[in-house]
Order: sequence, then C-alpha cells, then structure tokens
Amino acid sequence: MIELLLAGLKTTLQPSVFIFLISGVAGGIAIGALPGLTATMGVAVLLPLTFGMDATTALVLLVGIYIGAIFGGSISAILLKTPGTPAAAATVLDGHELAKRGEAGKALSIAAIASFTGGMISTIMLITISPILANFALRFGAPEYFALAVFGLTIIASISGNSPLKGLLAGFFGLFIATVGMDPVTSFPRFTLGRIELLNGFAIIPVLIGLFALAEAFVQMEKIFVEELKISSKIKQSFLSLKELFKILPTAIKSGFIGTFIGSIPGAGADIAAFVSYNEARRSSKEPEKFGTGVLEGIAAPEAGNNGVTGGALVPLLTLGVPGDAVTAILLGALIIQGLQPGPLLFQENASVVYGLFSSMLVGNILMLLFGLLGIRLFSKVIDIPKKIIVPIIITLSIVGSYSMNNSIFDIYIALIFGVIGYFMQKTEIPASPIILAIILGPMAESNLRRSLLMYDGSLSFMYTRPITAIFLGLAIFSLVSSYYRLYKLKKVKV
Amino acid sequence: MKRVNLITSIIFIFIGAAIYWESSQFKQTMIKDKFSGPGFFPKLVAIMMIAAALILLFDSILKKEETTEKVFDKSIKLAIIGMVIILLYIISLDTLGFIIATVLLNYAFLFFFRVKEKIILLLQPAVTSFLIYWVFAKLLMVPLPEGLFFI
Repeated sequence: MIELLLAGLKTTLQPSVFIFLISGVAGGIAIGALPGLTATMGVAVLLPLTFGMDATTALVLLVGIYIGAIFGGSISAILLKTPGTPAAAATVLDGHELAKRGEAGKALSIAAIASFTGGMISTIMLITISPILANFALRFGAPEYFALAVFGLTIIASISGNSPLKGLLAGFFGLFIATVGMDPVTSFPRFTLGRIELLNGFAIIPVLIGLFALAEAFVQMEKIFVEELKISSKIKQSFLSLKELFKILPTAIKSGFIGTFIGSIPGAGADIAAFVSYNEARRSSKEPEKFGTGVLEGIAAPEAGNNGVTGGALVPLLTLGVPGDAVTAILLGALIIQGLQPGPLLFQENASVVYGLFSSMLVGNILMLLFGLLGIRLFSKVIDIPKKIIVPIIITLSIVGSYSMNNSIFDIYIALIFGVIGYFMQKTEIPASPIILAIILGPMAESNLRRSLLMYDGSLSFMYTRPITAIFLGLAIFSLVSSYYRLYKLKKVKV
Repeated sequence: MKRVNLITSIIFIFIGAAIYWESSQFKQTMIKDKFSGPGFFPKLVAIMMIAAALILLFDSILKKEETTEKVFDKSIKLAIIGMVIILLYIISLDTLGFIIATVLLNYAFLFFFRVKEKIILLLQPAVTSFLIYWVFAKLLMVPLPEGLFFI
C-alpha cells in the first residue's frame, strides 16, 4: 500500500497535476468564502472543465475544490456572521463573537488548523479503511446492493433538516426522476414523453447544475437589491499561542473522527457533521455555558468536523459506489464520465487513480492550511466582490456546463427546469440533496431488487436469509423509526 | 408555511397519481421480466410518494400556523424575470450563436441588476463570454452553437 501511495504522491506532485491541485484548493476557498456559493455548487459548475482531463487530474481538481470550499465557508462565517456554506453555519456561533472582539485573525487561524486536523484524520482513515471495506464488498451480490441502496435512501429522509417528510418527498421525486428512460431490465421506455433525448434518462449533470447552481442564482436574485454586508472589523495579526493550540487540539481530533464517521454514512454531509461536533464539544466541555460567547473550541469543533467529512464521504463512494454526500454524488458523476465505475473493483482495476486521489487529499489539506494561515487577507477580499457580477458568471457557467456534457441545447432546458424546481423547493424548505442521492441510489435499488427477485424465483426470502442484506434493511427501518421518534420528541418539547 | 405545506402535499399527490396512472400503462417488451415489469418500481415509488404527501397534508391541516412571515413575497418577481431571461437566451442560442447570445445574456443581467459602473459594463460581459468560449471551445473542443453568423 505504501508503494502505491508513494506512486500516487509522485503523480500529484507532477507540475501538470499539482497546478490543478493548487488552483482547486485556492478556488475552492474563494467559492466557499462567498456566501451563497457552496461546495456542491462549485464542484457542479466546474465539473465540465474536467471532461478533457485524465481521470487523476480531474479528481485532483474537484477534490481540491471540495476541501477548499468546506474550509472557505468559515471565512465569511467569522467575518460576516453569514456562513459561506451550510457546513459553516455552526462556526458562526463562536467565530463571529471572537471576531467582534477584534480577534478575527485568531478565529481564522483556528479554523484553518482545525480544518487541517479534521481533513488529515479523515484522509488517513479513508486510506486505511477503504481497501479493507472494498475487499469485503467484493462479496456483495444483488440483494446486498439493493439493501444498501435502501439504507442510503432512508438515511436521506431521516437527516433532512426539520422535516423528514419533506426530505422523503424529495427522495421519492428523485426516485421518479431516476426511472425516466429505458427500463434497466426490459428496455421499455418510461416517462420519456416521446423524446429521444430522454431514452437514457435525464443526464445527471444538467439536473445537478439546475438544482444546485441555477436555483441558488434565482434565490440570490431575490436579494440582489438588498444592501450587501461589508467586512466591518479589520483583520489584525493576532496569532494563536502554543498554549491555545494545545487547548483546541483534543477537540479538533475528536471532531475529525466524528466528521469522518458522519461523512461515511450515505446521505449525511458536512453541515450535519459540523453541528454534531459542535454539540459534542459543548456537551463534554467543562464550561458548556461559555459556548456561543467566542470560545476557541467552538470554532475548532465544527471546522474539524466539517472537513472530517471530506475523507469520510469518499469511503462509501470508492468502496461501494454509494456517495456519502451531495458533493461526492457529483464526484461519482465525474468518475463515470472518465469511464471508471466506482465500487470495490476500482481498487483492483484503477489502483493508480485511487491512490493518486488519496495522496492529493493529503497534499491538498497541507495546501489548505498554508493558504488558510498565510493568505487569509487575500481570501477575505473575495467576499467584497458584489453579487451583481458573480450571479451572471454563475449562470453563464451553468449554461455552458450543462450543454457540454452531450453538446445538446435540450440539456440547457433541463438545467433551467430543474433550476426552477430547485428554486421553489428552496422557498418551500424541501431539501435538494435527497433528489440527487435518490437519482443515484434509485437505479441501484431498482435493478438490484429486480435481479434479486429473478435470482430467488420471485420470492422475497433474500431479505432475511442473507445476513448482510438483513442487517442493512434492519438499519434502514431503524433509521426511519428513530428519525420519527426524534421528531416526535421535538414536537413534545415545543408544546 | 401552513398553506405552503398544504399546497406542496397536494402537488405531490397529483404527481404520485400521474406516475401511477402512467406506469400502469407500461407493457412488457420482448425481454420478459416475469416477476416485475417496467411499471413495478415506478408504481412502488408513486404509492410511497402519495402516502408521504397524505401524511404531510394531514399534518399541515392539524398544525397551527407558526409564523406570519410569507414564503413568497414581491421579490419572487425578480427570480421569475431571471428565469425568463435564461429561457429567451436558450431559445435564441441556435440563431445567434454562443458568443453573441452570451454577451447579450450578461448585459441583460447587468441591466436587470441596475449595475451603473461603466468599467463593469464594459468588461464583465466580454471577459466572461470570451474566456468561457476560449476554455470550452478551444481548450476542451466543445462544439458550442455557432449560430447563423458563424461565430
């Protein structure tokens, strides 16, 4: 494994690849720092740029953006009290308090160090765990994959914000979208409205771009004439003392592990990891009442937690072909465009790509730390670019991106339609990520269920006679029941 | 939010019903799948969607309105104007070609956002359009629509 990793490192450090890693991480930080531009949007809009690249370079660039954007969200969270990405929402609580006291520099360096710690832990976990898991997953048959997809789908519902019902509805809508096109078993054209373009189903890139980039652009348009916030406090060079560093390190390490774990559950992403880490840090703190007033651990925990997701979310993607969050769902698209099928066989057939990705994550995290500590003044200037200039650029990129997948104007219409759908969903608080995950998990669930039925001669006995299948299905039921229990308890508290 | 939830659930019930009706028309093709035809999975999805929407419907009928804040206010107009601009752009793309249409698209948005700074008006549409054209058409060899004017 070490040789493979070293070979990967050699690939990553080649100037032609390394330059994409640098621009990915730097661009990602800028994207993350701009409120309204999320990691998901950044990766979706810039994915088409990678069509002409080889697989490793493409992944290096996209993963760089991913790592950078998740950290970048903390910059505006601390300076503007507006999280740059949903993942940085928890960072606002203590980060902005510290900035108000004139210690923005310290808050930002904690964010950088914690993000680095979280990112490194999760990358190391990814490198050690995923080959083992991939080996294990080689034994999976159709029933196991069906159960895994069902498990992933139920997780989506149980974690989607305040309303699991709306998450479920979004998930079912995604499952429907996934059935458009030829039936995987009998090739019967379903819901194609007689259009040849839809025989293969909706192309995933235009749908993604519509839901995550255009929809967000429409939401931003509503607020376009509202005065934008300017950075009020100047960033003074107030560095972290060694004592303070040692004080936050245990929290950062623990949160890194929490983030990795949450990231590896299909469907659960960086925003959840950040809040869980923050709550855990507060729960285990000796002075929990001080959280929210600008304590250092209150920045370290969510930042290490959300960057911990980056490696964790890649574990199920690379080993099982099931994305861990919305960004990895797009990475799945990128892998497929490159002709690679994510899943256990990836480690045997394309080891060089996988280990190239691993080492670029290690180097990417180091770059993020360097940029975060040294270039913070530069990146905080990004926040001042007016939305009025950025929104047209995002729209142009979205249009070209959705066109260039199949060189088809039809796909731009698809992006616009999903942009409109996504806009209304955002307004009515229906989460968009369940749709994307359902589009990916839906065909997996359907074709494996029907294959299992054929294998077992129409009997459903595979659901309880195969242990792994039974465990996944049990977990699926558990996650649904527990989410309703949690909601029920919440309601009781409210009344 | 109460009214919005009510309408949302009704919309989803309709979508679910439409999916169910459409999938019950699916026929088996030459390749036989004797246990579950092409309509099996969409029907399953439709039933689950309707069930979830019904729960949301009853939930929102029973619940009291919590906020007085409107979900959609006048600013929705701004978003709709944006959608129309993009729609017009896509329609004109085949005739005008990528560069002309995209420059116009960016101007349309800058005027819509009431940008007055001359330097932005001069540079943003041109730079955005040509940079993206160069990257996609020249570097990535994507055949962008040329239009009637061949540019």
